[in-house]
Amino acid sequence: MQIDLNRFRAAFFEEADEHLTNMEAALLQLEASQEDPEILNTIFRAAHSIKGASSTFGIDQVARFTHVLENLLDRMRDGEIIATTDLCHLLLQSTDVLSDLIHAERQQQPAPGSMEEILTKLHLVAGASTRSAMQHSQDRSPECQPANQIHQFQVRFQPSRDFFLTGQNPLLLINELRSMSQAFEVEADVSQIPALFDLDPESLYLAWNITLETDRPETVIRDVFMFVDDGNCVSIQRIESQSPESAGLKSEIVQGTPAPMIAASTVAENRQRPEERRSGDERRTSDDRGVGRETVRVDRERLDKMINQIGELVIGTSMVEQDWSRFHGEMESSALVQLGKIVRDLQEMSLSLRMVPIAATFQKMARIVRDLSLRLGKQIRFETEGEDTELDKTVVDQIGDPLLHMIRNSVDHGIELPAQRLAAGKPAEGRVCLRAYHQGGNFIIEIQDDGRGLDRDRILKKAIDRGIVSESDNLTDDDVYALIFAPGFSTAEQVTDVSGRGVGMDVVRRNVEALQGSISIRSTPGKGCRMIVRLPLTLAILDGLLVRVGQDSYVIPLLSVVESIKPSARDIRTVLGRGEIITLRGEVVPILRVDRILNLRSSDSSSDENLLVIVEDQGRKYSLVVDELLGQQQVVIKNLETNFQKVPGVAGATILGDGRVALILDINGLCSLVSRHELQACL
Amino acid sequence: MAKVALVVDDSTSMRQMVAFTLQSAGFQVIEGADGKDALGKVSGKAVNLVVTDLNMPTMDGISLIRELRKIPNFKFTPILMLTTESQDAKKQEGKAAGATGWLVKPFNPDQLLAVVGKVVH
Repeated sequence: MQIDLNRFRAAFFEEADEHLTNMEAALLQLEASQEDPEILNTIFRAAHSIKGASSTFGIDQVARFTHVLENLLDRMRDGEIIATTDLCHLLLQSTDVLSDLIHAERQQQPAPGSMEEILTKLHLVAGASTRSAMQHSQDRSPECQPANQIHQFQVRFQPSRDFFLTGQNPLLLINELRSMSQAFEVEADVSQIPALFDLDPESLYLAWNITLETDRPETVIRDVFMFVDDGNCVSIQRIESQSPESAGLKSEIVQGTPAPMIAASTVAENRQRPEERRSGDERRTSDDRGVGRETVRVDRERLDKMINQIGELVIGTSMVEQDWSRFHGEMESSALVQLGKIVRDLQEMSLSLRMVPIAATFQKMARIVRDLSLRLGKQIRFETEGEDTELDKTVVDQIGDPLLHMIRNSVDHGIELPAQRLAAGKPAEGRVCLRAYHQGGNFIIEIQDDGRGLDRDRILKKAIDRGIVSESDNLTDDDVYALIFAPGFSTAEQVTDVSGRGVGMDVVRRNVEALQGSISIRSTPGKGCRMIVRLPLTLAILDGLLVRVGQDSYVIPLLSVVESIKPSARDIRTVLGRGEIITLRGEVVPILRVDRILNLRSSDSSSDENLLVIVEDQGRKYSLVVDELLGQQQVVIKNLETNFQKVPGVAGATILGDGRVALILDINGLCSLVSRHELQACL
Repeated sequence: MAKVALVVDDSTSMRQMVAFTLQSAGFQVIEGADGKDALGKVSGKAVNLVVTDLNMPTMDGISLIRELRKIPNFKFTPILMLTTESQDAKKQEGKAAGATGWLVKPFNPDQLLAVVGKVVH
């Protein structure tokens, strides 16, 4: 049968990632709590699973690596090798190599260079006995006889009474023998069948005497009975001299007495292994996640298509509702109300399909903190809260890197060395806490440390040196802290290889903003720092403020909206030739006229009646001039770039309940559309 | 009526591969992610073949085989276990628990069907 094994590779890679995450988590536990057999079992099982599947799907390098790893882990389970700190470190390195290796296989790239080095180390620890074990399975059927030569065999097959109770069927075995024979004769030995009264219908009382001629070697005949153990229920005898008389297969059958044994068919290898002690009837396991829950893996594209279609369904339903009210006025249709409810439930459900817990991402951070604190000679207790909080899979996938940078920053710049901490009257052990929770339709991740906090003066000095701000600028604490997100900013006196050259925080901000999110910082000198990342729960829908500008409706992401005001005309001032500003509680806010920026033809916003929506972008406020606030609405985001060019200032589009299209404004893009020069003048 | 196979493995890719191969051979397949999951899915059902991995969380393959053999419907059902070359002792343990046969990983679909052919009509 032709089955392309490549079709299972994607599933393999995905589960291998999961196994690696579990393995890493268990290794960290092992390092902390020493030898708990259940933790070792979890680690072993992960390596074992990866090995089994990778060897089946021909992912040989992974199979080779995990084979050695598995052997080492097996010996650790047996108590032959003790889990020292060094060994835990080596095992953690192995998971890194394995992760790189799997990534390389996935991208069809060569194996990482570190593989052989780690492999050698694993060999050294596990002992040389692991090297040859891989060949074992290949040499199962040695060809001890030349093919094509026909031999006659006599087979006596006398299964045990409880043969049926092992799920076997003697007929299948006899037929298999028949299928490989040129000549075949079988006779049932019925001598052991008891009287009807004593007969147990579930027992097997028969034996068979089979004489066959075949060109296959004896091992192949023996293989037919490979599952029939106990050695003494099958005997195979090759009849050496094939005399002319016996050519016609005249078998002599000795009733009731088994034919002489030639060879035992099973390997009597009954070593008592320590496995006995670890295979209880029902294993307790540390990995209780997902137990009793069944999952189906679905291609992401198909899922997105479905969610999109359900979004269309929601729009379609609103259109029907509007049509109804146009013809029937206030009269309600109970069927429509019911339909609307079902459709909205369906949409909610469909969006929840994309939600996954943030736990795996948090888990990776635990490892980072461990490695970094070791390297930097710091003592750090890493805590996580709310790992089970769910978030859109796309967001989860993309938040990993920004989080990593922020965690590194906390460990590298935030937490002090133990001596410094003691001198400052703090415990030697620092604390980094990663927290996730939902708040008002947003997903919040907080990174909190009890380190030295941000140094306002040093940041400011650096920013002035770099020409990012000028000395005359009157900046609030928050303004100063926000400077660490400026491109190329680094305050560490020495650029370490840990936090890099300050590219990190700039990228962090951009990545978070690309996810429609925002970052803020709270810091208390000497007490610590808290970074708060605010993200939308999903990228498929958006909470928006629907506004009218001219003839058209636009959606402003609610996350950016601070407030809306209706100032009198005299509050708005024009800086000659450069633009308009408004002073809001002492703060100068530039005014952006959406109609002008987007080149809209007719708008009444130039009249005296100004309506301003104050939005925030990268910690700075802007005010957008709109004609009317139409309300707050959850909209399904449609990507424009699939069909159109990327339009600056426009994040996407959505279809409103009345079927009309509204553009979703991209605040960041909109602000950068207005020339920097012009804005600078306003500030 | 199509024959029914129960395929139990905590590795999704392996389970998919075995399930797909058996489906191609005309089986209707019930999948289980571990012993406990599998037991829950086959209660009261008639199954013609069981293929199970041994090393699984929650309930391992050996315990599953033992449990299945206690169910009247599974008294005579062929049960194949998926083992690795390093698990000879497991093989014996599995046989003692009531397994019919085994298949050594790595294997390909043809090898799987060849072994299945030994135990299912």
